[in-house]
Amino acid sequence: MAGPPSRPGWFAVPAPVRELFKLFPLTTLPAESLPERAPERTRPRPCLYVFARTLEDARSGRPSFNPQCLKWQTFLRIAGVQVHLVPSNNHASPSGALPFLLPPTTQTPTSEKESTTTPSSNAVTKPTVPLTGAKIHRYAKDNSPRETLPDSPPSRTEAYEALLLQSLRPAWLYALYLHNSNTHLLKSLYLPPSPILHLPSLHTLRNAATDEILNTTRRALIDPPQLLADATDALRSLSALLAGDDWFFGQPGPGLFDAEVFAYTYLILDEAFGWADDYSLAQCLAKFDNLVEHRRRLYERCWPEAQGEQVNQH
Amino acid sequence: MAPTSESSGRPPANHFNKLHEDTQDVLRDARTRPEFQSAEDEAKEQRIAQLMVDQMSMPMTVNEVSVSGAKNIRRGFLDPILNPLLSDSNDPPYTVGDVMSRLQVATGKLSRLQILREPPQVYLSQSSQVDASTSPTDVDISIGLRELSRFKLQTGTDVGNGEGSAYGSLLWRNMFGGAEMLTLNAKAGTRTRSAYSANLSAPVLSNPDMHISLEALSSAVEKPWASHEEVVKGGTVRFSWLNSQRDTHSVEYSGAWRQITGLATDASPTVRQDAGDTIKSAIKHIFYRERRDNPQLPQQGYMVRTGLELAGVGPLGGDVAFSKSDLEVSGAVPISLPGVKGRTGISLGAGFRTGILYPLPLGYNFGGKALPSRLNDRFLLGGPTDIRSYKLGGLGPHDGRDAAGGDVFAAGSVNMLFPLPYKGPDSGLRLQLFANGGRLIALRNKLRSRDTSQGLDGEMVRSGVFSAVGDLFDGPPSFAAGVGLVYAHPVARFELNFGLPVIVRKGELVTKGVQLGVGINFL
Repeated sequence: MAGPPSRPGWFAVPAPVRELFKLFPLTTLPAESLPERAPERTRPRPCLYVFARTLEDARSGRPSFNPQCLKWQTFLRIAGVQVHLVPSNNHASPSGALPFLLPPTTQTPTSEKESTTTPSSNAVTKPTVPLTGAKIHRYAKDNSPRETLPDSPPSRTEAYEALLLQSLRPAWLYALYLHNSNTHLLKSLYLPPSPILHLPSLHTLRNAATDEILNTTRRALIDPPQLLADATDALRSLSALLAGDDWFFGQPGPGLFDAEVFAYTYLILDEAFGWADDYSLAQCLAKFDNLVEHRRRLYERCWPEAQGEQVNQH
Repeated sequence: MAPTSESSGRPPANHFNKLHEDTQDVLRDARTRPEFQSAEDEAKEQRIAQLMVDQMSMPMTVNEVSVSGAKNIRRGFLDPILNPLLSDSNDPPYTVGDVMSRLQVATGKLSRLQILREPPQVYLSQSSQVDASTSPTDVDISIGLRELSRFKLQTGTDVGNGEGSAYGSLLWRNMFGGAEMLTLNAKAGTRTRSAYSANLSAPVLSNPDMHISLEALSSAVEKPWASHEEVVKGGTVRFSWLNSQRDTHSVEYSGAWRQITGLATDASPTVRQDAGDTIKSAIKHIFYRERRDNPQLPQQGYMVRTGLELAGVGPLGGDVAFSKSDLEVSGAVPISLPGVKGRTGISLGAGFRTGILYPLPLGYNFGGKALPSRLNDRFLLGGPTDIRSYKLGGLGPHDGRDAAGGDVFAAGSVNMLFPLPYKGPDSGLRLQLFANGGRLIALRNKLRSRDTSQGLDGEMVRSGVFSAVGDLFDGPPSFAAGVGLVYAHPVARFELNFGLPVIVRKGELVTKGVQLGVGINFL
């Protein structure tokens, strides 16, 4: 009855035991349904986890209030990839920062990577690894219904991306995180709803922002007027780069860099954002008409449903 | 019955022989009969009891109580314990019996304070008749105490439950001379990233059966069954007491800041959904009745434990609101075998647990929408200490490999314990046959009108809970059976089981074959 194990070894399970194990469980019943808060097991659309003011905002796909989230949200819209926005926070992200993208459970045939997994194989236990940063870029390009997405020249893009990062972002960080008049705004955007957590979280956020500003500007102290002046210089360079073109680098359509600039310009000029008046990035930006126009152009292109709404301009 | 004469080696009795016997022999024979023996024992006991009663009603009063060896105990703390003995107390003892019973109560209290090395030693002596204030019935009581050292520092390493860890703890007994106890614990391990706790407890009104304690906790624990790490910072105030039937009651308030963070890369969307901060502010009542002969290896008796927790309602605040109640019953009966006298060591035990989490509206918004439960509030089921042959949290709804937890559960187990051959019923080792199973169900809004992230209204919650409770008994439970070896150590119970799951639901995680369980409270 009990044949000798084919490969004898210390850890080999004897054949009769293996046979016995195979018999059990005798019955497998359908899975228990997931709790109320859990998302559906199947995702027909990719989910982009972003910062959002309200669930309503996320559901209607309104622009996120976080520049990083808005950048990818805009790029996915440019690429024509329909996503479902999920309001979330940094703890949910594999990289520690939003946004990240969960691909849909049923794969589109264009993606060769996941096509190996057949949907009939145990879908319940198949984990999904979320995508961040460059992987979202890759995903958007692979799944875009549009034929070609313009690729901007990499060397020039890098230089201008560095400009955004080193000159515009510190001013943004200062204005939102450290400028006292915007404390209320910061609380409403990034802090957990419970007032008990406000103080420790605010402290952590501000420390992180200070560190980042000091690291990128390589100065010993934070000099707010200087940050504003640097930001204005950066915007001036961007304005010169764009010149009379519709999109950056003279491309026929918007690309990732357009989305990146738009993420800042949209939020800086957004009147509903709730900025305090005494440290105004908006005033710096309003001077550059072509950037303001670029912002309007991209917004109308990516949020055609908001056509009725007035694109607020300064 | 067999005549005793047989055992003395004489030839089979010829009844007529008795007539020729000596009367002394007949008397001796009769005396050795068991009926006579027991009657005599009974009479002896009665005589002693009577003697005791007589003794006990002799007059005795206490002139003086002196306590020696109480270096660190406050006088004011000892007074309420020893006062009932003294003749100038409200209701002074007048007889030997009174004095003795009160002395027993007092020494019992002292030894239960957990500050003494051994039970107090008591000496009685006749009061000195030279002292004019004494009466002839007066005695002096002197109580000798040996205190435990005030500080205890402990460090060590633990391996168990799939975790290795190192810990250090400092115990400061009798801080202010009133049996206050401060415990500081620090622990770091493979699964518990770090855990620090401080606990200060003190008896109320010098009564060791009534305790108030304050606890602060800060920990970061990995929860691999749901691919995340939970960071908790919180505090608890607890008041616990023993009632006259020796049942434990405790009432506590706890507030905690919980953070679900450090998600694994393949964490499921269910876990991602609940990542972030929540504040729980809750009051809880626990009732615990222990009537088992040995909680680690029950052969006889029963245990009941109920818990009722109310979070986030009315003035409690926080940002989760629910009521969570659970019940646990377990018991065992010894099984006697015909032909075996005394304890056989064979017993049949059973346990049942159930619980329900009912979402409530937050704060004073009583008629408003209730928030659906979160990952860290929901029940988990499965594992070597509750439903064997399932992985930790292996029962119930799973998203991928992550245990999502459920709002309603019921679990039961039956086990039969046999003593090991050559070991006998007195050893802590047993063989067991077990069968255990249960169901863990998440509350669902049947209508699925997807707008529930804003909350569920009362009607939805009610129908959801009713249907979840109905589902519990609709269809067979997930269940497993097997055999194993049980070892009951005074500190914990160890089980090494071989089991196989019989009925499983899709997505549930099982352990086929051998599973090791270490714990204090087994189902």
